[in-house]
Amino acid sequence: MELLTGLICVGAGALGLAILYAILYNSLIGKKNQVEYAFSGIDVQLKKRHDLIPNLVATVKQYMEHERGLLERITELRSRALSPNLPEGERLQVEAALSGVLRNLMIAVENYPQLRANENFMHLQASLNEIEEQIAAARRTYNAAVTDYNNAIEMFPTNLIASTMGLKRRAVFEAEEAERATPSVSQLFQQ
Amino acid sequence: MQVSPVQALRELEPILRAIEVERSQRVHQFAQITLWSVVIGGLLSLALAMFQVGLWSLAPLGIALIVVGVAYASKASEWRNTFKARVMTQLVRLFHPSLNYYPMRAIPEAEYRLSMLFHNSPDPDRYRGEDYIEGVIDKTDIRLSELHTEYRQVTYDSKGRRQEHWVTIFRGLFISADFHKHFHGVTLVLPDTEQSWLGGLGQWLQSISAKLGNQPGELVKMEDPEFERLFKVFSTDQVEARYILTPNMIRRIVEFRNRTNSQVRLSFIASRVFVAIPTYHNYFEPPSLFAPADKLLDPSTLAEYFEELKFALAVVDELNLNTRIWTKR
Repeated sequence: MELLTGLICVGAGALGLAILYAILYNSLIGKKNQVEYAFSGIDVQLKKRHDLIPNLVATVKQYMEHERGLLERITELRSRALSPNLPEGERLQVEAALSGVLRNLMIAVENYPQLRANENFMHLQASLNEIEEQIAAARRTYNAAVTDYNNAIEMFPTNLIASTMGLKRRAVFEAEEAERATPSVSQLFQQ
Repeated sequence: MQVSPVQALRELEPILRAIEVERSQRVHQFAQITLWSVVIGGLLSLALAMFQVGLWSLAPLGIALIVVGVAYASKASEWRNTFKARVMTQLVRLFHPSLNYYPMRAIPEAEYRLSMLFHNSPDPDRYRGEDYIEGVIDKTDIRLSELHTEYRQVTYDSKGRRQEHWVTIFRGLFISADFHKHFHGVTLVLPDTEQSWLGGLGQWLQSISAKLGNQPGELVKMEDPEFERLFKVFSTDQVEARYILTPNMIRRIVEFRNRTNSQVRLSFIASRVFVAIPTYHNYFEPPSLFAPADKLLDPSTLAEYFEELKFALAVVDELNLNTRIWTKR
């Protein structure tokens, strides 16, 4: 009789542990997928930006004769970002560079009052602002998901399971050096 | 914003003088009613006292005091209505030409419900409001009013007697304004009551609460620790919540909360922002019926109303609602 009670106790304990393991395991998988989902959210916005660029360049070209170099660089960066066999890390660098030159373009535009008054350009500029804002929001969502995930794989008790699952810390997005610095206009014209 | 209180005083002086005459007439009428009621009541009481009817002899005096009370209430409310209809309507227009003021109207109940700001409280059984202001400031259309919503709570005491109480859901200023960006989901910014004393555990409870369907969507964690300490955010769309609540907007909301120094709540629904500022202060009320005659014509009195208007309408600037560099024009 005592043996039976003992067995039941052990069995119940084992079942409890198994359930706990399953819950923690699933929560980790959920967090890992959340990170990937958030990353795809950034991708969607980056694609929108790619779609906008040809239009923007075409509109701006008529007015900004002197900024040829800048426009060519934008087009080139866009096609590099779109090339299918680019590794993930490098692609993000290209996107960051693209953000930088687009910002420079918007500053250069200040010198072309005619362009700034152009209805079509105003619309494109608003769309670009919108997309940049969405990209920023998507990145912050990604960072929040990564922080949540990193916390889970380093905190007790989920860290015990995470190490057996081979989950690694992920890096959060940080503002690029170029994004933080205020671009200088003179530097812009040398590009 | 357009006119200084001193200029406003110059504009409004004829009206103020006219209603000042009405005010002194009302005070005079009230004084007469008081005098006659007390004299008649007093004499009757004296007369009754001669018949040795005990305390009953005080009844006429009691009735006289009730008459005085009713007279005061009616004169004060007449004065209040006159002031609001004739002075406040003009004053609001001087403050900003596009604004209209309706003393008896309030934010529609449908809008209160749409805002979801109090969706966890029972439906209001009593919905009252006043001092409705609407207009367009630069590019932002805004509506606001004082609001007091309550629900009825029925309890039974130990002897099984039914007792009714009115429980306040919200009392204060309710503002609805056009937001400067388009969005589709629902985002709520509510005062944080759990996390401030339970820390991480509180945050966990909040996310569970959202999962159980008490809040729309899920808990959204923001990067700003001060904001996180003061507020909790729920949204149907994590990315959209951050699109609305940019780091800049988060700072603005923290400053807005610190300035109003109350448990403000905000919601972002259907491209509008709804703000509820709880306060017991009664806005846009006239000086007392018995205030000295020069009180109305004192620039500092008008300056106070301007301050109140500024307080209520500052949301537009503080949340930067007029900046339209996004696709919403």
